[in-house]
Amino acid sequence: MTFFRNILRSIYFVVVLFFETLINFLTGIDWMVISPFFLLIYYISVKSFSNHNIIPLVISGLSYDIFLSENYLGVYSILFLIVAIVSNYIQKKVQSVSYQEFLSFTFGFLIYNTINLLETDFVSFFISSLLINYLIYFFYQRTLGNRV
Amino acid sequence: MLKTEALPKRSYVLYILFILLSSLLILIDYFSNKELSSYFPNSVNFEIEIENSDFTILQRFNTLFEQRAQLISENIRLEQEVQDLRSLEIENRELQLQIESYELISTVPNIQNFELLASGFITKNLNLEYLIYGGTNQQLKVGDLVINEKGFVVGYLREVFYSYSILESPYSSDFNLEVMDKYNNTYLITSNGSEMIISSILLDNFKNDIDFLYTDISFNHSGKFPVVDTRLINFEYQNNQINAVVEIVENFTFNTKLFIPKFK
Repeated sequence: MTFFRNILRSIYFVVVLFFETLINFLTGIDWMVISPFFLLIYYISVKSFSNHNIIPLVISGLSYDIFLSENYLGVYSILFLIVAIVSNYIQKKVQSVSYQEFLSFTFGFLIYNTINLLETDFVSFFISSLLINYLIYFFYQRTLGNRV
Repeated sequence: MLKTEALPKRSYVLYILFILLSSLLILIDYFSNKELSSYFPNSVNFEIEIENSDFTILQRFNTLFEQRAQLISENIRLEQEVQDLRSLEIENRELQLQIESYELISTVPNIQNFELLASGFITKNLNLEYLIYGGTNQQLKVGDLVINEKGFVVGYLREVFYSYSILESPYSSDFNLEVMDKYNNTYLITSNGSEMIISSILLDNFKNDIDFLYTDISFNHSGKFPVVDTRLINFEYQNNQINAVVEIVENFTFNTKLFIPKFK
């Protein structure tokens, strides 16, 4: 059962990751990225952090390294796992602060984008992407909240 | 409640173990010269082949209704004819599209000396690099130039897999291309992601009337293709050194036609 759940989750994660690359190509915007896969990592790290997410994250990273980049195998698996750990850790560590969610979101997103850190216009790229993705996350949560 | 308080630190252990495992994979991949990571890309084929469906099922019924045999066979013949016509129509449409895509590029001087492999965009990855069709199955190799329908260089191949490749375009800050003007002065074009930075390498005979910066076979390029139109660029000339910054205006979409020229 756990095996099938891991397989299904991995397929779901990989589809979202590939959808992310496709949507950013289709929109053709260079000054920001829409990152549904990051939102997924962040959501599962903050709301339902568990070891069940490890295999899907590793498989997503491996598929990304195999099919969509020229990196060595495993680079993105590490990145996705670190994003999950850091987002969860900060979220738990700064529970007293009122803007803890935005803080953990920012750190997680920063790590998610470390690969583009050397781009000259990274700051503006990062800020615009952060805001748009946080907005999506915020409205997604609102919608969920209303349903519940 | 107690469980959630106690869990956090311990629950990272497996994550960290998998990070170490992934690091091991990186090491193996590094020492195997990317054998591991390039195994699947070198065997995956993104190209779709359209096959004509056959009509043998219909033909089987022919024997069951002898009295209608003639009618059915005529029907089959007509159906096959329609099918053939349809496939011809599709082929015709594809050829028309191909002719259209070659129309502009055919006006580029000396292009007839090159075999042009048509390509197109697949997607853009998280490193802001573009994936394009064509790979080792079309004898492409790392460093091959990629030009647009106007004959201008839009980048070069950074990594080549079996049926797709990674294009290093000026949108990537790793972009780096040596070029030459018509007086054989050499320049280096780099990028910061939104602008191309042109700096001279060797100026023997600089004149203000240079029109384009070209690739050249002396830099192991496949031919002489324009990269930048310099007629509207203001060069800063200081201490026998030239520098200029050019904004990247080209937008890539699924409809952007790309060609990879191979010298005949």
